[in-house]
Amino acid sequence: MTFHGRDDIPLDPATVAELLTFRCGGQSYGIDIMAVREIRGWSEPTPLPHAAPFMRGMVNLRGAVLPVMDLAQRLGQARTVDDPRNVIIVVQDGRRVHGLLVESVSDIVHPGADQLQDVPPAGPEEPGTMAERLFILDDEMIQVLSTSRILPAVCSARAENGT
Amino acid sequence: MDPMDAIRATYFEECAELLEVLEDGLLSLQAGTPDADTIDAVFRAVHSIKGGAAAFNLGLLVGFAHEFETVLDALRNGELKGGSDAFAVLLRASDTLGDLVSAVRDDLPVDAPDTRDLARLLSGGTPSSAGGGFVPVMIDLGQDMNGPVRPDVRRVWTILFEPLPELLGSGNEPLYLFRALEVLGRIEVTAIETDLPTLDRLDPDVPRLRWSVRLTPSAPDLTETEIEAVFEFAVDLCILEVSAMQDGDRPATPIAPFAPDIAERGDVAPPETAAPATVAAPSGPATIRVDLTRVDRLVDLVGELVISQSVLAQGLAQAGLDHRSEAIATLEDLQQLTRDIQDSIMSIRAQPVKPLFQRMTRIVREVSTATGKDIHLVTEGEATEIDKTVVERLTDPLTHMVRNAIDHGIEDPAERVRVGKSAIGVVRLTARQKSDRVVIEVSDDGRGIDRARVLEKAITRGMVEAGSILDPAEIDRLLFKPGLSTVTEISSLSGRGVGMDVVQRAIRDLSGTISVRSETGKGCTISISLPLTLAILDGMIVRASGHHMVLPLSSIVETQSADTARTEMLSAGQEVVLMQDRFVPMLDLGQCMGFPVGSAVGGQDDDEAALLFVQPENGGIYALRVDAIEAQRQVVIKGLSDNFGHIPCVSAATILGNGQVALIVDPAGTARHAGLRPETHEHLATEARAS
Repeated sequence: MTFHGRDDIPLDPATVAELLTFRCGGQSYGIDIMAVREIRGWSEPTPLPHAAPFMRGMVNLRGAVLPVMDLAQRLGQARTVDDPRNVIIVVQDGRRVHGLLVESVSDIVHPGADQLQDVPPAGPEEPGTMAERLFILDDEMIQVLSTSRILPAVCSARAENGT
Repeated sequence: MDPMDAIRATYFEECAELLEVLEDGLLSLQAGTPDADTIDAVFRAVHSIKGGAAAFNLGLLVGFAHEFETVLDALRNGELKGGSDAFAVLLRASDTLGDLVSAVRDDLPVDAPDTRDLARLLSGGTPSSAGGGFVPVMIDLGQDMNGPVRPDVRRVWTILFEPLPELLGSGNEPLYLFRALEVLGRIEVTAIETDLPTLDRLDPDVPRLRWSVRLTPSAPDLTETEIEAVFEFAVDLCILEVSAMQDGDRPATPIAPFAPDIAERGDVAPPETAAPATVAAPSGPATIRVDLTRVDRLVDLVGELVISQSVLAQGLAQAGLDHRSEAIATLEDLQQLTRDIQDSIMSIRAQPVKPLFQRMTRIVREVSTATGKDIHLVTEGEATEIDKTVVERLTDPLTHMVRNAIDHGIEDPAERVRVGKSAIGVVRLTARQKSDRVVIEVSDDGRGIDRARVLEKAITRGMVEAGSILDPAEIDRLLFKPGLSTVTEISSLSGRGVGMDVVQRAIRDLSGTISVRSETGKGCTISISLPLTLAILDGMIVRASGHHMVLPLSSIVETQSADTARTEMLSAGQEVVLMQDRFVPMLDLGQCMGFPVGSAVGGQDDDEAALLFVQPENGGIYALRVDAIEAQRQVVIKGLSDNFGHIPCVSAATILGNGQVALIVDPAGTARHAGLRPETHEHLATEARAS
């Protein structure tokens, strides 16, 4: 499947970006560092009513309201256990700024274009994986995520309201 | 800048935004499965561009947008299946539309665009990539603006002030009130002593003196509300009559000069009246143009300042500082300063609705020419001020409303004469401030809503089941559903039935509400109620299910302690509570929000639990049960829709003194979500129930 959304981060093999790697739900992931605005310590989010279960709520980001989602839960795994050592990665996708709750941040890596693999079809297409590419680092698989694909659609809540 | 040029510039700014919406929508449709909301948004974008272009007589743009819109309409009805080919054509068409808009904006010569691909989409053929034919078309942009502009009339106000015994009893002091009035302009205070009783009949506990104040405002657009605001705390404690007259008139009541002996007693000092010569010239103060983003940045910064200040206040309180300590006193000064800064910045953003109303005069002219109906537009309250963003974003909805009023509401001249009305139809556009909201109304003296026809249309469109019986208010609400238009032929003015749902959505995005009143044969009034500012809210901070939430103070009519309130169970899950001899529904706030109730989160402290009786705009009163009422405070509104879309029961969020984010409850949305039937039918709960 190809995806040509406007805000999609180009993952052209020739120009692979630096990736921030982190752990979440017991697995390793990477995200384009250019999409990362900052990394924050854990603070208890205020829950949102009638929101998707992976939406943990909102935290105060220096006077702005930052939505926070539990990335593990978003990726179909169990809810992240509350732990003061958890961190929130603040990512920006176009005009949207969003917090991703993860277990810990690991490293910044710069994989070569030849190290990146396509995601093999490993099950039914829906819901499918959220990973864009894969690569192996120190014998561990790292899934490269695209911010625009992880962030929930804004309209969905509105549509739900109309029913 | 010439007013017409300014309006035109605004239109093209809006076009840029609409084109962005259009392109984004088409791209997301191309990428994924078509969803009705996006198709609607795309359709409305093109429709709005067309509407504006029609108003400016940009024939070429109207023509192309109309073709485009027809195809999108087919897509919306499902007649056209959106394959990748189709979207490629649509995207190309959106580019063409963009080029056309910029060419027209820059007065460049334009060729009539090729619409053959669009036409082929409709006929089911395959699109070609052939270029278009070249037909140069003259575009007439030279329509000047000569709508009726009322000159500023500087008015002089006469305020008759008679204190009741309670006024002095409660520690109020007329002198302070007069001084507060002096801030608004030059005042002349005169004591009315003609009807004073003689000393032997004087009851010392009853104030007998009355005053007449002549106020020459320093701002020409001073409103009665602003004057009354001075007496806000004394409003029930005195008799107040505020009347305005043109400069030069003298007050009708004979007034004796200020009694000097009273001043000598030291009760009231004669107010220092400024010399008349120092009054600002009516030419108006000097102004500068400032980039709006700079003001917005300032608004944000002040919001953050308010938040850090509350964090600081809480920190100081926790540090156990003495209440009389210098730090606490300084903090209080700081709070006062911050509040003043906040007010000043908000007043920078406030703008009168006058330019908005001016645009409408042009719309009225256009539509009345196009429809052949003679229309007299009456505007009232042009000086009413409202946040700049609100003013700008009201243009489209108001345009739709005015067009609808003329196109659908007002009858043809012949018909009007036949039913005994004047041949000239009247459209009334009013704005007024009502506590912390601004109410804008568009009313016409036309035929009113043709309910039978609306219902019939709704049934043919499959929006309502055939044979269902709806009460008039329910039918009126159908007007706000997408895809309903009672005019069978499609005109370039209003018509395809996108009007009222666009209006409703735009108003709701501004945290406003809309309602409609119609009387058959007499006319129809659509009224919009909007918050004065989008940035600050007077709120009641409450706790429910362990979370802090904020309720807009304006919606709260009464509070009761939960343990003394009389509650009754109607059936499982349906509770009512007695409020002034009437039972009203009762909801648990935490439960409405879907949060766990009771024991799971710190237990229900029944001694603190309270009931807040809230009344949503145009809705029925109901009670919300909360675990505790914490404080009453001004909070900075943080919009959520950019990141979250619409969230049921919640209008926005704010940040409290402890740095935590708190939700701002939307009373109307909460009632809707809980399935409460609005008591008055004007309330727009249709969406929640009908679909």
